[in-house]
Amino acid sequence: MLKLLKYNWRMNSLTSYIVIAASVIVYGLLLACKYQWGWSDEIVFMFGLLVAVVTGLLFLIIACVTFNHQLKSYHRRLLPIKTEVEIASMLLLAAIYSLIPLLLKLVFLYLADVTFNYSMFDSLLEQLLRVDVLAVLVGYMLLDSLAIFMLIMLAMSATYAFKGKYRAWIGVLLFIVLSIVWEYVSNWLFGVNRQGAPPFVGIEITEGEMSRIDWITIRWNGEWLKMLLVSLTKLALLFAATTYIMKKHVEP
Amino acid sequence: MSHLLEVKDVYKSYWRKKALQGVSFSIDRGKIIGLLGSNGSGKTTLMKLLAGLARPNSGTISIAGASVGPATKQVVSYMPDAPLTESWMRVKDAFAFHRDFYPDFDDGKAKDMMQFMRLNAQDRVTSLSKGMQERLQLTLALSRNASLYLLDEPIGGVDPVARGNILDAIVEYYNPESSILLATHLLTDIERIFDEVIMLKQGSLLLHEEVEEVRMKRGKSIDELFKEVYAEC
Amino acid sequence: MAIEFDNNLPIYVQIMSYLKKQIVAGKLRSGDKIPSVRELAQELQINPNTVQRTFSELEREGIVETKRGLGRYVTSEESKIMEIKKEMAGELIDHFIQGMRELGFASSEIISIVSDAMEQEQQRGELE
Repeated sequence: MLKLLKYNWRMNSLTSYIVIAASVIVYGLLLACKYQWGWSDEIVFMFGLLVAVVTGLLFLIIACVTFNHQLKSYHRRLLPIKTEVEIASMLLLAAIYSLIPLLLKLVFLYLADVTFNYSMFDSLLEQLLRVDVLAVLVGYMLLDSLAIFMLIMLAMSATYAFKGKYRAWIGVLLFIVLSIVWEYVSNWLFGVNRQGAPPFVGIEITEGEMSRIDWITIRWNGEWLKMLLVSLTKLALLFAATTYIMKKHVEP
Repeated sequence: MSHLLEVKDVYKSYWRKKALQGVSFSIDRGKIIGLLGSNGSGKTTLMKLLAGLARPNSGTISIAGASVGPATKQVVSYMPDAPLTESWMRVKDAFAFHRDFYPDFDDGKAKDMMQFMRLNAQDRVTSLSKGMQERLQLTLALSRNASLYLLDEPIGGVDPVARGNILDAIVEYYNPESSILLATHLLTDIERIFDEVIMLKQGSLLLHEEVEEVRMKRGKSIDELFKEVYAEC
Repeated sequence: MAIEFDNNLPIYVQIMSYLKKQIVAGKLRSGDKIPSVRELAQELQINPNTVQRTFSELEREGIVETKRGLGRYVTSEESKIMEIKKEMAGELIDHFIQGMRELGFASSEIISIVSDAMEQEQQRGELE
């Protein structure tokens, strides 16, 4: 598994380094914008977010291309490796590729030291930058990106289970359908209160005077264990499904 | 007696195309066997099934007593008509890759063959000429101590000198514990290397005979027999 | 060692005749070592099993003997070599006579043609 990881990393090393270098440069420019040219914190923060998203997307693309390569190339398919190990290795790669933009963003945030005029955001940020909250946040984001990537892998291997010009659409359809199904399932399990916030962590909003939101407290979500288990189960199911498809049907 | 390779009643179709129809044969250790057939005869499909790149629709294949899967991939070395390398690799990376993943990879053989085929470890794989790439492919496939080697057109696009080198390599590394299944259509040089020959036509097995028997009984070379059999194709 | 192979005939038979000729003509002498299966297979670029078969046949005919641990050698029995030489000559002669008869020559004619030819060859040899 690690050997495969090593070669996958090497295969993409040039591209990865370019993406990392580019994002470091842009982050550097943004920091200069704030400290040299006095750009406002909000704008710097927004652009920082944009850079993180773009970097994340680029790495996602690299990961998908790598998996495609694993599915198609003869010399990869000839390797005496169990399917489960192949998939696990890809997940490990995806994890690394998810962590890189995340870490770069965190470093940027720390260096940028943004403060907002709205104390709500300030207090949120302050609380976020606590180690335990960060750890959970990073863990949650990692799990989330792995789940997305796992779903993509499932869709990709489903594509290769068919032949013909339109088989890519089968994969896309599968991805969309399963995403929608998951939305319903998670709503049924946890109610509609997630609102895009991390499931392990809840947000309590205290209103200050004049119904202005003054303070946001982050507290542990009582259901965090259940949510974690559900996420892990989802990952496991996707893993099993992908393994099955790859073993039985994939013949690019 | 157990055979190295047993193919029983294998059928394989791709949508409407029937690639292999009821093919059965077996191969023992220590043989060099020619797999002959025109395009579309099912040669490559058969090799892919043996290599584990595809699964038959029905029928069984067993190699060294095991069904096709990660266990057989460890003892089967396939040289396909597609590259076994990645574009970022140098020759030495290609060898390192195979060494890392295949327990039967033989460093000594690899070094010998590399010299013999005049391959340079530092060269980028993409900078190699077609002939050199073919030689690298063959070297990678033969550097393993596999039980079954599947060579798909190893002398196809290659100049006569390289062809001679390749035949040399095949004979030099012959060992009685392994067998080679070699698909080709260029027969004159190579037919002397075969113990047996298997002929496929439109997915069916036409013939599986010892080469010397063909010469003795039919008074023909394999090349001639091939031309006769595939004349209408 | 240069053998022109004819792919229409069994290879092992062709190697056998070649080796026999070498032995009979004295190029490979009694007691000389014969290349191993691997060496010969590589040199001629043929299947090692074919070479093995050749050697087995030659051993069976007594032309070649295996000394344990040392390899294969041309038989030390000169008489055996003579026997093979006569056998091979016999085959050639039979073939020749049949050919000549097919052309319509009678026995006495065949003999005189042959002695004429031998004389001519000798003269050519002296001139060179």
